[in-house]
Amino acid sequence: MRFLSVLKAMARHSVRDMMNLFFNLFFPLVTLLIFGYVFSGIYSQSSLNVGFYGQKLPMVSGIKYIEYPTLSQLKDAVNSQKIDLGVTLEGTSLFAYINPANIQSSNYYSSIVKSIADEINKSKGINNVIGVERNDISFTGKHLDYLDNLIPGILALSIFSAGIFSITASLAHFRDKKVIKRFWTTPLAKWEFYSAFISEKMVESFLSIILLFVAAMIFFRPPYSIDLVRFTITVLAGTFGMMGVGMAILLISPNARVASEISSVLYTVIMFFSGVYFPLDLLPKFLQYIAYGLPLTYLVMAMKSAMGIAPMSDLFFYLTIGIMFFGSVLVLLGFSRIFKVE
Amino acid sequence: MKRVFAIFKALIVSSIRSPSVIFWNIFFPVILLLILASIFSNIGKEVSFRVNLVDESTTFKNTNMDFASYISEAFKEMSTGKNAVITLESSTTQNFLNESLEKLKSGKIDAVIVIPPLFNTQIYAAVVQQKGGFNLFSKPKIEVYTLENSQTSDLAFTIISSVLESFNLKILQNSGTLSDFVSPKTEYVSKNGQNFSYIDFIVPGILVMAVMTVSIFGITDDLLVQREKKVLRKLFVAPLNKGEYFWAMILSNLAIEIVQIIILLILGLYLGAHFGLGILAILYILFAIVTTLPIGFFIASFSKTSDAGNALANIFNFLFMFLGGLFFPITGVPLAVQIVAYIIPTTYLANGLRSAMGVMSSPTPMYLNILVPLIWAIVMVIYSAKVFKWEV
Repeated sequence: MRFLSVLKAMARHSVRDMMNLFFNLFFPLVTLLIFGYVFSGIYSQSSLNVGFYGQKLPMVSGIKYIEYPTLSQLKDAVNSQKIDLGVTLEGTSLFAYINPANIQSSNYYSSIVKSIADEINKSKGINNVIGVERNDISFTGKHLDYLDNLIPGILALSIFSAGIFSITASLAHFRDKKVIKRFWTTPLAKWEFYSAFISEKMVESFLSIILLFVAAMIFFRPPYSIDLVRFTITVLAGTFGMMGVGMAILLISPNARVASEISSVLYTVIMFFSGVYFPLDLLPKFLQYIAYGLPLTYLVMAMKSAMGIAPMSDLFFYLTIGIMFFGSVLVLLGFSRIFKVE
Repeated sequence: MKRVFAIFKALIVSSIRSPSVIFWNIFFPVILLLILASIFSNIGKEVSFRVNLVDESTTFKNTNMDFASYISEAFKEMSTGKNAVITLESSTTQNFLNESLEKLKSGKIDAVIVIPPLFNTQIYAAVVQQKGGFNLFSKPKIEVYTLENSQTSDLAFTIISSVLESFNLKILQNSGTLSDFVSPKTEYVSKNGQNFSYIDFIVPGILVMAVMTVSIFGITDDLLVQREKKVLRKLFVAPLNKGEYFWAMILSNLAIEIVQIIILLILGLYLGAHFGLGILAILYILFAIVTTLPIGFFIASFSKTSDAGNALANIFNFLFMFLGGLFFPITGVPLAVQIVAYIIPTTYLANGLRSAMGVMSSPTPMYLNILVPLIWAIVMVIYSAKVFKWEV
């Protein structure tokens, strides 16, 4: 009964705390929408604007040619991003002019230039002797783009921040404002307070993830095949696991402000190394070692598997969840003993 | 002037003593520059791909026409040594092919190369028919299986294609048709004619982000936290006016910005960035500082509490950073996002700074790169001066 009263009080406090609502709901939503629109634009251009100078070039699918009167004007257009790439045919060399700012697309641009060269060679009766046929295999059997991979990462980041900040901001705030100390003067047992606090934060995290997910489905319609059991377990165990990390931060911080600052720094730094924005295989080796030591990396993997876009064996999935869950139980239990309310 | 200097000194000391100010203003831009530079300059280098090769060829085995074995050997060579580009497993069985495709599907490997049974015969026939100018036999085709939507798999395919391309060139050379063969050559275009890389693009972007962050978080914090803690009220009881505090605050943020700019420029040069630091570039950096400083004042003017100010600062920071094209060019985004991108000042500041530093031509006219940030700054200063409450 007392557990329920504390739970209700915590829920009310969370709803009334505008900053809590802002950072748990509004900010992740804005992040999702901005990243969604920016990255879907960068990676899913339907047609490329290709400038050329001199000799007319054969048409290949997915491009639109724009003619330039001089080579320097063509290069300038590439340099100032007016066109996606420039091409000129000089003798037997098909020069491709690429702006390195478009580094994410340079492979795609190179493949377009190769297709143009192949068409020119074909028209001369010269064909590559060995043909290369590319067959894409999809884990899901569905076409996925960069954004479809990014969304589970953003959800995992939200779980990460909700878990950590619930301890380093909320619990620390209760401690600094002497709220917990006052609770201890009542007949409330410690376990009732902590379990109500953790339960409320779990529900809050779950609701915010659901809201983000619904927003992602409405705005971007990603083709996920959700495994509801895995999804629920990931959100709950993830939030719980990150609370353990938050508790560890809180123990080394003198007050809520410092704990919050350390969490923000940690959040900002590790979000780049956890496979949310860039595949881990593309990181330099030493960063890969760091990445595989971070809990967020495994949370991202588990979330992608729960959404059916990346493989993760049952053994690996439940091992990850188990470590996150039981590891945090130990951390929270252990630390709650040494956590000083005053 | 003496009082301005005293407050300036106090604010600087307070900043130096604050680990969060040091982290967000100095370390964070440095870390971000290092991360982005190491990730994007690493693409295609130092990366090792896991490739399985299935050689099903059965004809001309162990003869000098065993082209399949030449190809296998080339890939094996790439998998040996300290800087091996690929990790290779190869076999000839159908079972191995099935296993490889399963591994690819589960992301354990990045590509599977399949050389077909009649490969060697088909090559021989293709060379003969190319020389004879007829087209009777089907051409040899190597199948490369990749994982859809995997950047690592995409890069593995690029490398595999380039190896097979070199075989094509060799065969064409031997058949005497290479002289007319058109091959692509890639050139990265820069404004100053030097080798241009992603790091050149990112340094001005990080500079704009850094000066903007100081203003957005530094000034908002200086005004709102101090107001909330009643420090401002106490200060104004002393013989100090608001103007003096304002200028001291501006100068202290300016000092932090100058330090961070110097550190970032040195780091950029160390990482191999090419940029010019002529008078135009220095003037434009100063212009960027001056026009971003009012953002913090603007946010503070319509925030009642420091928490609300912090929330707004995060939103502004995020919008200005990612929609301003500071790290990646904003191309192909939906119209609504493009409209926002072309309204906010950071788009023009990044374009203007890249152009002034000789990195690339600005996609927007230079007069807009000056006018738009200037209008933002003037409007923000006028609004903030009218609305901001020094005491609550």
